[in-house]
Amino acid sequence: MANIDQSRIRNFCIIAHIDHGKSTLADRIIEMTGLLTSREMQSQVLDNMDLERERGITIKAQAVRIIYKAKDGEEYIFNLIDTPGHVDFNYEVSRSLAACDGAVLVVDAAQGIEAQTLANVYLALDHDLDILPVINKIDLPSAEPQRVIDEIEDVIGIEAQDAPLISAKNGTNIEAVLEQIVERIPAPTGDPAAPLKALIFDSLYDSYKGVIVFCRLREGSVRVGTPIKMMATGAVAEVVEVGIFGAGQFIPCDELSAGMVGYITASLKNVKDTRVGDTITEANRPCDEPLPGYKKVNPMVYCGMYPADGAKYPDLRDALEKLQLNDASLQFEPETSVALGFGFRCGFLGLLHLEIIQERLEREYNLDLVTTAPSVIYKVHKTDGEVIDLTNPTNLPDPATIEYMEEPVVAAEIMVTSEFIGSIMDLCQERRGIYKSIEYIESTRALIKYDLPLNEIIYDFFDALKSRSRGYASFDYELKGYMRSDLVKLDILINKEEVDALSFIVHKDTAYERGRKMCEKLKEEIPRHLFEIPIQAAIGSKVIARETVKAMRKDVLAKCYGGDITRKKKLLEKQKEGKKRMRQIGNVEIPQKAFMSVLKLEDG
Amino acid sequence: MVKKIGLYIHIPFCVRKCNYCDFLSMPASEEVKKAYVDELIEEIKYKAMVFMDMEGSSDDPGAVESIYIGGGTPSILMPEDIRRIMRTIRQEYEIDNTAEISMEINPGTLEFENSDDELKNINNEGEPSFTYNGINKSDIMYRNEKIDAWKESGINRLSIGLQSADNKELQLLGRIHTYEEFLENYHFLREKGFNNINVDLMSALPYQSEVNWQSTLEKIASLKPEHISAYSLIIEENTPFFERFREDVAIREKGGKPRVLPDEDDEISMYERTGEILSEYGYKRYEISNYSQPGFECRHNIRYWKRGDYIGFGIGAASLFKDKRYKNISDIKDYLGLFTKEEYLHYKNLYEETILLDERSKMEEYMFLGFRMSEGIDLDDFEKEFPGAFERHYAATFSDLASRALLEEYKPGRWRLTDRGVNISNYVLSFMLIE
Repeated sequence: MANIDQSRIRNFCIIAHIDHGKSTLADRIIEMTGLLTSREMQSQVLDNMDLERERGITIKAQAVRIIYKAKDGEEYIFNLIDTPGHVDFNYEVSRSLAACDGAVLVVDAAQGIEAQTLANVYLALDHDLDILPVINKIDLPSAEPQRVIDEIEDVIGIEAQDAPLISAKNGTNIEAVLEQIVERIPAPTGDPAAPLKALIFDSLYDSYKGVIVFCRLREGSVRVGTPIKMMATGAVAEVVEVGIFGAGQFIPCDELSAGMVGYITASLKNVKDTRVGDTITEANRPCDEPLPGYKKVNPMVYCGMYPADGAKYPDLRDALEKLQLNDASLQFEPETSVALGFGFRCGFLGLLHLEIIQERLEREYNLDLVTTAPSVIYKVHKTDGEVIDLTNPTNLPDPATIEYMEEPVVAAEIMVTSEFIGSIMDLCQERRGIYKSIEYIESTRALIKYDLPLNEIIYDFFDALKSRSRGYASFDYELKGYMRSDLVKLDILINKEEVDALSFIVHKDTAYERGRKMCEKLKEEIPRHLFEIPIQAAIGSKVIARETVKAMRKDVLAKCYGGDITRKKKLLEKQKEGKKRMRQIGNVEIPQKAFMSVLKLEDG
Repeated sequence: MVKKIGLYIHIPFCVRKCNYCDFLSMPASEEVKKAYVDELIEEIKYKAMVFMDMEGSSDDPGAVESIYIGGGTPSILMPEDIRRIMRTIRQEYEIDNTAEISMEINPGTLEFENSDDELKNINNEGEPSFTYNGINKSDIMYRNEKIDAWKESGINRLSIGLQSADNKELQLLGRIHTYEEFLENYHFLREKGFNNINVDLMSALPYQSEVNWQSTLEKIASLKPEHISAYSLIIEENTPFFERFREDVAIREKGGKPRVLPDEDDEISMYERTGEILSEYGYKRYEISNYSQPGFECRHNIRYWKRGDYIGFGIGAASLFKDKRYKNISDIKDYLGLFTKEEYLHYKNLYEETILLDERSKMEEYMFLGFRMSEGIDLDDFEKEFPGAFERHYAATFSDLASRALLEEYKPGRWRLTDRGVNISNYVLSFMLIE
């Protein structure tokens, strides 16, 4: 394997708007090239997290190496890197792109270009990748391939007349895609004899092998025993194993050389030593400068995560560290809450990212979590000139010391058919959006641009968008900057005691509405006690909404039929168990799920 | 030491299921009923063999002190079936001469002659209150024969499921009888010499006002039955009532004002009125929902609260015997043939649950069952059974509950629920489970 002809390698990824069939095409390619027989194929091979299969989305970029015998009679090595389709995970796309030389752009023949189609194309163009358009789902009765081809040419400005028309689901015309990959995606370049220069595009932690680094070699080569150095972290180690990606498995090999995509394991102790985006070089013969890597992404949404069982705090820290290893955008630091005890303030790219991490912590690490309402990062300008980045509403300084506050704003692009333009614009107005422009892509579809405060979109904007467009609108955004805004901190008092974990920052104009909804929701969640419990939403000392959990007056078990005492005891046990899953705030017991239920207050 | 025991026989049949009923009961053909009684008889014999003849045991169980035939509607059974059951029991077990032998009856199963005409007139509004399709005529005939069979079998206490003295309420509940039918039967049973009768009543019915409830109570109390059970209606899942009143139930659970169900305050005041009215008529509350004239407390029920041994027969029946709790299987399809067809194997398939009680469970039961009784629990007695356990497990809980006025030491060493504690007994009793 030492002398692989670079001209026989194709490193590419597949990009698409969510649900346009990216993972299905990847499956088909893997199947066609005979890596797995269709009987061995588990649908969507590359989505190997249970979570990904269940949700039908790709979260993590995944790589696989396949051999394709082309019509020219030659065998080609394809390194295929699957990418996520959700706006939250653009950074993953960006990572994958950095390891590729070209991108297959999948567009749904019925839906055409969507917001993330554009976003992903722009990312790919940023990385100087050649784009190979493919029209998928031509089996649908509503498919209009020619219209979509024209759209690609008009909107994106790339040649698409000979784009393969395929049905990944039915396996139609997949070979045309493979042939075009060979013909149109350039072979990698790079000198195998030069000093090693490899980009880390992903990594994961394996309990047997330790840290497994996924990399793309730009220059040089690496083999077992090579002493390597991480250029950013400075960590030095000896290579233990190198190899390539089979479908769902790692296949060791002798050497990786320039142009190849593969993995490296080394005698690395600390998971933090391998940073995704870093450049690996030889310790004894370093390259002159690191690869540009790619734009570091910063979290946009923060929330508190607490173990339901306080004793699991160290376990939560371990789990977060391991997840962070291949999810550079996940950030966390310890914090304490009066209500919830010890936990972490965690930063995420968006609400989906938050949910995914939460689910992974719960499933893969068996942790029971309490999550507080997500917050964006506010800039607090104090009268003394200090500027604070506020990620936890509880830490808001005394309002008397605040000169003004700023909130993050995103540039949002919403693509929608013309009949829904009105209702989508109404939605954006309600969410304090600032209208920018509207572009008709064709007579019936438009791209609407708005600047929107991030905190208006992190909760339920996507759901609202879908419900107001009967599922047709697509959405993408990127952080634009900060804008001065009239913000207040809304506190929740339960039985007259402020519950820090429930405080949040909100625009003054929507404070009343949010406060009212919070109180209503909490009233639903908090069980009745022997005394009446007022639930109040307050700004400073001013109460703006109130609900009451009535005192429990009657709770009697039914008759004991035929002396069935066991059944009676089970009912009492259930009651007692319920008490255990509560957080004690003052003399009120609050169920843990109450802290999370306020995450999603319906659109209204 | 000879300990007395109780027997429970479950008859899971009724003429028609009531709208609020989630018990193990169903209408059935004569063949099924007969087959079930055949099975019961074998189970009675089997358990006498395994429970009563434990040789060499130092605490051989003594005589049967109470028998309770419950349901469902045991009075649905043909006279001969009751005779067979009681005959078997007497053959297999030693019954005290003074044993309390109770049976639950439904007034709608004791129709007088020419039922058809009478039945047509029972509605109060001139409209048929229910149809007779599907109702087994034999279920409601043979009043004299049935009563003779009960008397001859030694049944000396009857528990009549009336629920309400208001025909509209009876109709809503899906009962198969009117108040007038009940009255006629009540007097008839008195004439026949039954001198220990309970009447079951239910408060907190949909649309019921306190005045309605008071009127039912007064009508019944003035008849002077020896015992009155007065339960608050609980809307159980998987009943027609649950489907119908689901929203109201949810409102009430949150402490709100339901539309047709009484709210919690009404429920409580109905409960409080029950005690007041019945005490004017000479009844005393001895358990959360049970009232009696002095000396007529139901001995079988008290056995449950005091953790006396009892053996249950029939589907879903529970037993407590030598610190072990058993629960029979609940599915009649599995039960039929268990003894009559599968000899030697039945013991394996009879129980859906067997639990050997450890010290902790015994203590917990002692507490949460004991506190259902108005006399509450006696600490000396508890100490005797569980030396040192009170200090270790309950002293702190008791003083906490007492400080919240939910428990009280009403005389030295005797504790009971306060009136407030009774209203939320479920909550208070959950503290009797040890951490």
